Amino acid sequence: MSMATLAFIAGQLAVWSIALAAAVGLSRFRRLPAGLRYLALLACFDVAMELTVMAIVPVFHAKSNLFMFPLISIGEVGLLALAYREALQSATFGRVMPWVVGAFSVYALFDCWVELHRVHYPTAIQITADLLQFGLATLYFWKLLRELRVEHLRQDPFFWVSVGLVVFVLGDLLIMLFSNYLLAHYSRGLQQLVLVVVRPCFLLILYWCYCLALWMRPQKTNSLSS
Amino acid sequence: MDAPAENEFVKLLIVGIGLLLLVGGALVLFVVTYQKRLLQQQLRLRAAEAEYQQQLLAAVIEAQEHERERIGRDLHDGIGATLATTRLLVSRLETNSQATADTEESSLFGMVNELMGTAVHDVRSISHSLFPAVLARFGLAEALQHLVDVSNEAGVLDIELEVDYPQPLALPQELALYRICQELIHNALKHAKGATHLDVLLRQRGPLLTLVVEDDGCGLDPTQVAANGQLATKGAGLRSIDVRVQMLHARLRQESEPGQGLRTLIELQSPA
Repeated sequence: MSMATLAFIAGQLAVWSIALAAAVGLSRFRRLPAGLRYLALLACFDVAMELTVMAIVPVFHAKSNLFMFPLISIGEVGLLALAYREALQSATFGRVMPWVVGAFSVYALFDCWVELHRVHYPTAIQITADLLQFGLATLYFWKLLRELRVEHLRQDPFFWVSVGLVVFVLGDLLIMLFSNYLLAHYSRGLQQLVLVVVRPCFLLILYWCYCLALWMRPQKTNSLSS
Repeated sequence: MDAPAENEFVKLLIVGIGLLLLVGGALVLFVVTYQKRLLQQQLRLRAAEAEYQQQLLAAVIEAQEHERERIGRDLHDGIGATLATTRLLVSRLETNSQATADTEESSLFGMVNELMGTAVHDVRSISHSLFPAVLARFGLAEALQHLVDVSNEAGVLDIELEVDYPQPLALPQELALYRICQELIHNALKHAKGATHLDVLLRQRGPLLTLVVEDDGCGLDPTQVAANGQLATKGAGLRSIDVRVQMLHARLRQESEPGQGLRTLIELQSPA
């Protein structure tokens, strides 16, 4: 199997898993609790961004679509923060979250504007976004251990969202860190393998976790809080 | 510095990603196992707390019963005996006054004698209500029969008892069931407006013991019934029933429709 075929399959699988998550989210939107509604919106946002990214070079004759990365990161981090605000139910998180997301958005937009005409991966922004997402997942894990409200983790949607985020972020972190180095020094085949085959595999895992979370019926929390 | 060879870079990248994923896996595994362990600890703590509460409840009820027994015996053997002796003496004085043909004095003695009789009866009744000696001597079936007979004497309701109770429970459990039945009959006599009939059923089928008290009165007011079918606000009597039901590890169910009476059912598993 050639690299191009492999890249095509991985890309298609990732795109369809995003579309599936959005479809599941939309079909169950009315029955979803507030936190998962934001997750459904995130999946829809990602579908819209995916379509825009695909259309930007052929339709708008842009030099590259990489400048979209910061915009996508802002949307993803913002919607995930809103989803986790509902899941964490923490006043402190509610107070701090707008400032963190706001600061990240300002930084990402500034970087996007400055680097608009350069073709390169916005590594710093992507890594910051990854770390923020990892922070959200670990905050949720901490809440699970502190409050003991969830009896069966396998039936908790946000547990799966957090697992998906941990796997995606830790897989994505090194790829993003070396993405520009890879583009500058290595062959197109290796670039494709890492950026178009391996990375979509982590995306695939993340979106399957989103699908699972959006599909399952949230369990009632028990009263065993410490 | 030169970039490492492509193969070397791929190896480094794969090892790096693999290590990070291992860290992620370890984090998730830690959360799952530690959360499970904490949850089990919490459940054990709750169970111990519940056990302690149960023991405390049993101790409180036992102390209450001992106190009732003491007061009941004191009433029966002390004031009751004194009143009975006084009544005998008054009877003697009444006989003497009849002999001297003093009609006014004789009539007064007659009234005093009657009042003394009522007082003796009341003291006995209170003493029995405080501690049912029949229960200790003859068991729950006899005690319930006695309770029903005494309640029937009031003549307010026609009370019927049906007992099928081949394997008696321990005395503390029988006493708790007796108290529950006593309270339910008392409630029916007091609150079941328009009731003409009250059925009391004690039935044992294998390990399942059922006590049913059912009247044909006005039933519970629907505005005061909570979602679980029980009264939203409870008086001291109903709370004492709840406590005893809890002590017995039993289940209490109340069924009522306006105008169609109230059916109270208590089920418990008797020890083998």
